[in-house]
Amino acid sequence: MEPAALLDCLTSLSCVVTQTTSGLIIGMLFFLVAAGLTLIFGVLGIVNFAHGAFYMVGAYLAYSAYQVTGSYLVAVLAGGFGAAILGVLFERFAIRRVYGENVLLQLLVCYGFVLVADDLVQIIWGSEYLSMGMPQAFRLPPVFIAGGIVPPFYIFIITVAAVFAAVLWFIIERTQYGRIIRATAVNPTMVSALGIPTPLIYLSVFALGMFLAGMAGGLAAPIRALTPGMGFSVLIVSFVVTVIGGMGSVTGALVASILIGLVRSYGSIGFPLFVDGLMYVMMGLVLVLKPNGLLGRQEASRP
Amino acid sequence: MTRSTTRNALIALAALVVLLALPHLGGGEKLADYIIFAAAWGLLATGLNLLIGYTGLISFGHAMFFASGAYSFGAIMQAQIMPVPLAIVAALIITGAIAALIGAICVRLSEIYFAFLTLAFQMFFHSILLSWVDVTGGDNGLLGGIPTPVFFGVDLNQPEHLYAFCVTVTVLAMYLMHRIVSSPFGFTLRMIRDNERRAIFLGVNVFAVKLTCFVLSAVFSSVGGIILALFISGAYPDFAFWTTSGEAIFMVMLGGLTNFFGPILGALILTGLNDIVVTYTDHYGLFLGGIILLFSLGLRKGVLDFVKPGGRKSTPAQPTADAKEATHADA
Amino acid sequence: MLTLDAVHKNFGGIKATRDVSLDFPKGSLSAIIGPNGAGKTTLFNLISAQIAPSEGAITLDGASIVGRSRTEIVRAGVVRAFQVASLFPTLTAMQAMTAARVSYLGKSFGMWRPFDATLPPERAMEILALLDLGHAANTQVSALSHGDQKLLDIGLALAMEPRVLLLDEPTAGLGPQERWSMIEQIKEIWRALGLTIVFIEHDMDIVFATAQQIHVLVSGAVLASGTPDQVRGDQRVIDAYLGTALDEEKEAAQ
Repeated sequence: MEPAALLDCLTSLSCVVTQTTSGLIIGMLFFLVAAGLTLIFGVLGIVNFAHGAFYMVGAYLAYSAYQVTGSYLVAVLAGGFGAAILGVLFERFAIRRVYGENVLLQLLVCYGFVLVADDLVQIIWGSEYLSMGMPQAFRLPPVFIAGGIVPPFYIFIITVAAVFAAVLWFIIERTQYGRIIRATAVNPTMVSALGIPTPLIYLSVFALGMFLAGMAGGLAAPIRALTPGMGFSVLIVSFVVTVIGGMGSVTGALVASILIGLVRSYGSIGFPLFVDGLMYVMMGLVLVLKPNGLLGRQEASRP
Repeated sequence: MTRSTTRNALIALAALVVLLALPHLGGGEKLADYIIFAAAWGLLATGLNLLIGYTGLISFGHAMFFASGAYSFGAIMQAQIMPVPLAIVAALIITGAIAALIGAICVRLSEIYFAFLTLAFQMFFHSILLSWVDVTGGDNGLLGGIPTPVFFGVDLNQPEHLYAFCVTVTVLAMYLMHRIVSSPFGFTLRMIRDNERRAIFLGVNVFAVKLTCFVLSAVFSSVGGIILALFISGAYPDFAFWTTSGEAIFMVMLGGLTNFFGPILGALILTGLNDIVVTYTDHYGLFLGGIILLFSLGLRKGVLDFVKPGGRKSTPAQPTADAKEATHADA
Repeated sequence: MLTLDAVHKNFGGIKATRDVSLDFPKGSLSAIIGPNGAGKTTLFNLISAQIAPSEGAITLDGASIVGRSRTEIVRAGVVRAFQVASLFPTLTAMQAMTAARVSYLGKSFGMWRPFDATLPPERAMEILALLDLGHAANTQVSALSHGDQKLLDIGLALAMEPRVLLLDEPTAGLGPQERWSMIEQIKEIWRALGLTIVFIEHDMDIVFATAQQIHVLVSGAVLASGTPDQVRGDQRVIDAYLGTALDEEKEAAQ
C-alpha cells in the first residue's frame, strides 16, 4: 500500500497525464471486448463464457499475420475477421443448440470450447510467451503532454477504439439493423413473427461480438505478451465491466470500461498488490448500491 | 432413530468397511491412490451439488473453497501450532467464514450473476494466493511438505494410515451431506430450486436458507481440499484456478445432478479418465474440452440421471416459469 | 380484519390502483370482479407485499402491514394462492405439503432428522383430505391433473394456517363442471376453517351465487361494493361493466 505515491502522482500533472492515458488504453481495450459480451447477453440472453478465448485467438492470428505480411493493419483485420469466422462456426454448431437451455449447459459448452481453444493455441503456437513487437509505423519518439510521456501507439489505440465505440453506437441506435437488434432483445417472438429471421440476427450479433473481441486481441498484440489462456483474465475483467455498466447496456460498458481502466491505472500506483481487489470492491459496491449496474435495465437480483 | 436413518448409517458403515478392505483385496497402492484422489474431487463435487442440484445455484467459484481448505490446513500444520484434527476443524471454520462473507454478497443474485460473481471472487482469491507469498508460497504453493505429527496413534506419514483416514473422513462427510439433503432443510432447498417465489410466499427465509447452504457447501468442498493437501503433502494455486471449478461442475453434470451419488460417480469417472489420458498425451485440455462439448451438446444428462426412476425433468436447476406470469397477469 | 385505506399504486405514469378503500370483515367471503386490466391481481400483489403501494394504508387487525416483507405477511396470517398453480414440480403432493408445514412450524433449518419423520403427518393429510386430494398424496406434483394442481396450490396456502386467504382466480382454466366443484370446495374450506377469504373471479354466475360481498374494480378504482343484490342492481356497474365488458368476459372465458 502506497497511498503517498498515489497522492504524489495526483499532484503532478505529468503523472496524471501518463496514468490517465494508460488508464484509457486499458479501458478502451476492455470496452471492445465487453461491448460484445454485453450485446450478446442483451440480445441472445446468454453469457458467452468463451468470449476471452476469441480475444486470444484474435491476438494469435494477428501475430501470425504480422509475421507473414509485416502489416499491422492486416494483422488487426486478420484478428477481427478470424475471430468472427470462428465465432460463426461456434454459434452455428454449438451455442445455437443451447439457447433457452439452462445456464449450466451453456456454461459447460463454453467451458469445453475454452479448454479446446487454449490447447489448440498451445499446439499451434507453443506455450512460450510470444511478443509481436511494436509495428514499424509506431516506432516514434513519445509525445510529451504537460510533461507526461504518451507513446503514439497509445493515442492510436485509444482513437481506434473510440471510433469503434462511435460506429457501434451508430449501428445500434441509428440503423435499421440496430432497430431489429434492439427489438430482438426485448421480444424475439414478435420480431420473428414479423418475418425477420431471428437465427440470422443471433448469428450476426454473435459474429459482431467476436469480431470486436478478436480485433481487440489484435490491436493489443504489440503491447501484450501472448500466451495460451490469456483470454481468461480479459473475460473476467470484461464481466466485471458488464456488471458495473449494466448487463445489456453498451453505453454502460463504455463508462464502466473507462472507470475500470482508470482505477487499474491509478490503483497500480497507490495499491500495487491490490489492483484486482479494487476492481472487485467497486463491483461489490455497485451490486449492493445499484444492482442493475450503472446503466442497466436487467435485474441482477431475483423477483 | 427411524428405520431409514438406521439403514443409511449401516450402509455408510458397510461402505467404509469395503473401502478399507479394497486395497488389501489386490488393488494395492495404485488403487488406494486413485480412491483418495477421487474422494477429494468427489467431496468437492458433492459439496458443490448441494448448491447446483439441490438449490439451483450454479457456483463457478467452488475451487476457492477447495483451495482455502487445503491452504489453511497446510499453513496451520506448517506453523505446528495444533494437531491434525484441530487443524482440520480450524480450516473448515476459516473456509466457512470466507464463504459466509462471499455468500452474503452473492446469494441474492440471479443465476447468471451468481455464477460469474463466484467466478470473479475465485479469481480474486487465486490472485491473493499468488501474491501473498509469505503465507502461501506464491507460485510455488506451500513448499516443504505438510508435517503431520502422530495423533491418537494415527500416523499419516504411513500410506495405510493415510488411506484409512482419508476414506473415513470421506465416508463421514458423505454421510453428513446425505443426512442434510434428506432433512427438512434439504427439502427446503428443493422448494427454492423448484420455485423460489412460492417458497417466499410460504414463509421461507430464502436468503438465510441459501446462505446457509452456500456455507455448508463450501465447507464440505473444503474437506476435499484438505484430503488432497494431505495426499500430496502440499497445496498449489491451481487448486483455486477456475478450471478446477469447471472440472467439478463437469463431474456433477457427468455423474448426474439429480442423484446424490451422481457427483462422486462423475469424480470417479473423470479422475479415472484423467489417469489414463495423461499417460498418452500432454493435451489434457483438448481431450477434456472435447468430452465436455460432446457431453453438453449430445448427451446432456448425467449417468445417474438416466437410472433415476420417475421421469424427473433434466433441468431441476430451473424454476418453473409461472412466477412472473402471475405477477403481471392483471397489472 | 383486513382493511385497505386509500391505496394507490403507480407504475411509472400508469395508475394501476387508484384510491382503493376496502374492508374484509373477519370470516367473510368476498369476491373481487372487474374486466381484464382492472388491477385485481395488482391488488393482491399489494396486500401480499409483492409490490409496495405508492400511497395509502393496508392494515390487518388494525396494525399496518405496509413495508413488511412477503414472508412476514405470510407469518401474520395473510396467505395467497396463485392464478397459475405455483408449485414444486419435482416433489410429491405430500412432500410439498410437508415442506410447507415445515416452514410454518419454523423447522426449515432442521438438518438432522429425516424430512419424513420430522412432523406428524396428520395436519398435512387433513388438508389434502379436505381438498379431496388424499388419493394424490404420493403423486409427483408435475404429474397431477390441472384441477388437482390448483387444489394443491390452495392446500399449500392452507398449510400456513392462514387467517386471510387470497385466491387469485381459483377457477381459471377449469371446465364448467370443475369450476363449480372448485368453488364448492372453497366454500367447504371457508366453513370448515372459519377463514376470511377474498377471491378474484371472472364467472359472474359463480360470483353472484357464492360471495357475501362483491367489490367491482374498474381501471384500478373501486366502482361499487356491496352484497350481490346491491351490486346486481347498481346502474353504474351495469353500465360500466356488466353492460359492455361482460360480453367480452364471457367470450374470453369460453
